[in-house]
Amino acid sequence: MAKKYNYFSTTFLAFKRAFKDCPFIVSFKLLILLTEIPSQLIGLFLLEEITNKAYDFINGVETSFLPVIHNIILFSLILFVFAILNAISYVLQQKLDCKLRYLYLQRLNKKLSNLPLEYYETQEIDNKIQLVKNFGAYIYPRVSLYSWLDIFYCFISIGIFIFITTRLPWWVVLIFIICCIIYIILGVYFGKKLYNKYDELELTRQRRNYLYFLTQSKETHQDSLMNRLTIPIIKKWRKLNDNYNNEAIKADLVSSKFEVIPNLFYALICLFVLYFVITEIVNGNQEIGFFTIVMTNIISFGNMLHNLSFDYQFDIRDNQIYRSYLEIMDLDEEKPNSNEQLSSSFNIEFEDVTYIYPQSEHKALNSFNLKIHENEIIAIVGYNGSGKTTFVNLLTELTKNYQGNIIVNGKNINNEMGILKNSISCIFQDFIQYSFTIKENICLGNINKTFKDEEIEQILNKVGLLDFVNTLPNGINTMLGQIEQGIDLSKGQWQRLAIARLLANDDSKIWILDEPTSFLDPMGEIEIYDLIKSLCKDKTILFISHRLGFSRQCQRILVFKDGKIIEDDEPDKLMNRNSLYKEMYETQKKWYE
Amino acid sequence: MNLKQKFSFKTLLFMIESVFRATPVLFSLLILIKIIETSIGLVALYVLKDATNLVAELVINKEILTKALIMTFIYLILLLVINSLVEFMREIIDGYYYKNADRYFRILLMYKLGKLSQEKLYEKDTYDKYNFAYRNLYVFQQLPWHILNFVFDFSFKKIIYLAVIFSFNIYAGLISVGLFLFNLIYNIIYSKKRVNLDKKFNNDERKKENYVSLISQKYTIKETKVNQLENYFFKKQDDISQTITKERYKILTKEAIISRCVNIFIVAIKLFYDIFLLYLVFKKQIDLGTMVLISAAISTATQIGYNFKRPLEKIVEFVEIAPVIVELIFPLTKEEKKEINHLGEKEFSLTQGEFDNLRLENVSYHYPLCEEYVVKDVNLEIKKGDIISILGYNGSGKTTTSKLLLGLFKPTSGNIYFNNKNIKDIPFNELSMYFGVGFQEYARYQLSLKENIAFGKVEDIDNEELINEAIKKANLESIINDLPKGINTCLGKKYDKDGQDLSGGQWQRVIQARAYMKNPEILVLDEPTAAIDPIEEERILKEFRYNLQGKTAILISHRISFARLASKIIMMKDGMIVESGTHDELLKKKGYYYELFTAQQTLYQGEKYGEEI
Repeated sequence: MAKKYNYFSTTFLAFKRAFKDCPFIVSFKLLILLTEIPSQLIGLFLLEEITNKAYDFINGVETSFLPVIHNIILFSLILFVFAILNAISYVLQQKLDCKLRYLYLQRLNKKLSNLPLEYYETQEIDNKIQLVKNFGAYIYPRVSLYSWLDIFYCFISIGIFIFITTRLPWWVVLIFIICCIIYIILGVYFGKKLYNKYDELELTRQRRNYLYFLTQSKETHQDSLMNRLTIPIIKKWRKLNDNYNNEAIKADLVSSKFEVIPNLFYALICLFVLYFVITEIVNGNQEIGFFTIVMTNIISFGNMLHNLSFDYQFDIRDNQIYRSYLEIMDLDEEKPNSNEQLSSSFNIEFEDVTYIYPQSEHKALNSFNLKIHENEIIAIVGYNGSGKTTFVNLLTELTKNYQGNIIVNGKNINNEMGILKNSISCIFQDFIQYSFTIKENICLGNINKTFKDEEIEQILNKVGLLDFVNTLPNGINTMLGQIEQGIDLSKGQWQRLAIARLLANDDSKIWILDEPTSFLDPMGEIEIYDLIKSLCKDKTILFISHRLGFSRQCQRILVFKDGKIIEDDEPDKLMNRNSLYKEMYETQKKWYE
Repeated sequence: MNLKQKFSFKTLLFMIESVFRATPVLFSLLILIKIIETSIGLVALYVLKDATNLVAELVINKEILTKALIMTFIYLILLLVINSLVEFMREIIDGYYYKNADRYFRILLMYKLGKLSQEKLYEKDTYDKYNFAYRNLYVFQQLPWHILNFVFDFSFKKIIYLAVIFSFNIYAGLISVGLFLFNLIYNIIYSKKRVNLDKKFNNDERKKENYVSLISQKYTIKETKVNQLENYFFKKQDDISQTITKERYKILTKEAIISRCVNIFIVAIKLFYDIFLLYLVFKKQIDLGTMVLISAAISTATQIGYNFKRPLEKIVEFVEIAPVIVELIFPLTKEEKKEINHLGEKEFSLTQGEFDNLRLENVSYHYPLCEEYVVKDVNLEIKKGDIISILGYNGSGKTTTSKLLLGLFKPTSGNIYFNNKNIKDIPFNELSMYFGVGFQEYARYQLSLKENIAFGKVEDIDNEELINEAIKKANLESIINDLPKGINTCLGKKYDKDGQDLSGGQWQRVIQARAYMKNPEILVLDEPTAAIDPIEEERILKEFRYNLQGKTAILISHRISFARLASKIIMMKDGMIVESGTHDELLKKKGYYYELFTAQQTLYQGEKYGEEI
């Protein structure tokens, strides 16, 4: 991460952003904050005036009612106007909340969709991504505005309270202010301590929650039934839970203690102040109303001090989240895709390509060299972890951060984006099962084209799903998956649908098929092989599989080992010499003799 | 999901009873603290009254200065110190109470779900309910706490304050009661709307989440990028997001306007009221202290703050969800209560003696909510030492048959006998000790590799010999050597920095170790090598018989290689067994197996594809 943000720059940037997002309402809210000063002052004067007048009435100084209280009525009316202004501000705040959250998510999602795959594969960044995605929208209005409005509000109240106490000797006020500052510093200190403690405990909490949600997963349920894991897992959960709770209670105790001791301290300061208030009144320097306002406000003043310091721990947390958001927004985006496409004849060359995954030292591809061109049918075989997946990632331009060169038709594409992506269609081993309609599931293979229903049906027919789809009441518009109460397909049917998605993109020059038949039964497997055979006439096919039967019918075999190609030849030639391919092939073939 | 169950008063009583059972002492303490808290507030009000009157007198009678100061000090001590002391105690008790109740209910829920049969779990409705309960349990267990808050902070406190006002002036009392009721009713309606608001957008939110996950999850972003669907999904989620935001804004604004109108009204009344109190002082009907007291009392009595709104919202929410959760976690039998309290594990023992035979007689099966049979009239006998291979097309009922054998599903009709005893009469817990299973949809625990293996026989998690043997059988040494913390490495990076992700092929080998861990009487493996490379697969096949050590095995796979290992091959089609016998027998028969075998065989005939075109 290039830039480092601190607490203040984060807050400032958040505020700037919010102001740009919603200038009118933010300005209005700031304005309302300013009206707090007269509003609170008048509230205090009103209280003082009422008490003083009441005192006068009791002692018979004043004998008429209405003429005496015009000040009180005036103050009341002004307060009422302020109340209305506040109400408007509250109503507008609803709009502000909605708008800020919406814009935040819009920016974030746009960014996330343009981040290169590598960032998602870096655990630290991925954690941040998930964090800002889940909580960012809730804290954005707070970080950018509300927490600061609250703090300013507190300062205004404090200022006003101190302004009123200036009727006391200056050194009394000074001592009072110093004590308040000590109080706030203590609060911030304990707040930070508590935050750090909870931050430490976060991982325990996550582990605990993982175990809790584990027990309701369908995959683990059957395992836990067969292996009687319910009680052991509950016990493990209980242990983590007790650990976490004990630590959390301990941490809370520290902060609770903080509430009692300073409150006692504060009570003493208050008494100190009140002693002087009362003596001032006794000496006739002040009226009785002074006592009432100090008395009724000294408590709420204490609460405010308390909140100001106590909320700090939440401010730190929110600030951290927004900081993560800023860091993510600073990440480099992928280059925009060009419109270039491979022509009907092409050359792709990997020249000494080395790739190392983030946070790893292992060379997933190690000085990797390869040339492919149009109309080739290539099988890729090799051990688990020999670099096949990485090769596909590089070929589809998902990862650009490699060493070496990838050259297309004589042109280096290290700093370009799109030409390969635009010309390749893929089925991955763990393809997505989209919770959309059957039609959409297919159309996603080629989003730029509008499909007629007949075309969809043709494709379904090719992959052998049409008969099944025709039995469904909604046909190709049947919703699939859990999200919208759709029907569920078997793994084999999903796989056929994934192949249908591949077929939807007729223009692609290269097909990559990564274990396209792993969930299909042997007959289905052969069906799909035949289908691929019949459709691949003008395409280059890269076919990755552990099942070597089909590979024999390809034109070229690539055997991967430790990030390199160790064998690259026609299958017959490989079979005629002592090759790894031959060894693998023979072991499988043996079962069919 | 059907959540429209009626809330009955019984549910509430039941709930409170179980909370009481979970934390009897804490719950009582909590009530006590609440009572103290409420009374302190009241006493403080009267002290404020006396203090004000004393200070008012001071000007004339200077000798009572000490007395006035003492009163003031008592007031401050009451409000600041005792109040915060009580709050301190309440927070601690709250903490303990909440954590204990939380623990009790969560264990209960996990336990109940753990006991649920797989059949039940596969019913979408049941699963949804559990899912719902898992997410919403916190509302459930916090409820007594909210009710206490509601009763004390709100009803009790407000009634006392209202009584104070009434005792002073009946009209003032009436006005306060009116204001209070108005606020109360409005807030109940408001809370209901708040709760419903989230529900209203639930479906849209889920759709949106789906789109967002397609552009921001490690597992999906790859395919999204290859198909260049980023913008498409982004626009889709943005559309939904816009609609939700607009709708939500409309509703929230409407409610905000109403609530603020109520607020302004209350402010007006309060201002008017203070002038009225002053008038009473003028008429010499009340003294200065009373005026201060009543003014403060009215503020407290008519205001409805956070302390009230939150519990109310929670209670409204609770009324909707409680019946579902109660239905899931209760009733509890005595044995279950005992088991939950002790969480003892049962000893591992083979109660039915050594495995001898397993027999399916005319077994048919359909899923509870689906009338179509997936297994039809299956007869099958498995004897000790058999290696059975179940082959068949997609959807032919292979996996379902294996689950019937394991006792996970109960046959719709027909019987299954284990050692000549109907498995209906054998507790599932005892039967499961005979099986070591590698499921097709296996469980990946983001825990240590050791745990992932030892979960096959969790009783022996500290038995290194057994674990090492399982590792050897599944040939895991090479994987373990590459892991940073060896066998103690966490499989997954999310909860451990030193964790490591395994590939599909590596996981499958871990799952096999798990199945071997028990040294089971019957080993059941469902598609055990789908993601494993040919060399490793070959090793597994070669060493299979040796690893089995004469025990029984059931292999479910598309692959012919497993059939070649088997002493008996079962061919399934459309839920029926269409053929069975040894490899040679079935080849001679020239039936389904022959067809499957030869079709695959041709793939290995070595014809060069390019020449065909």
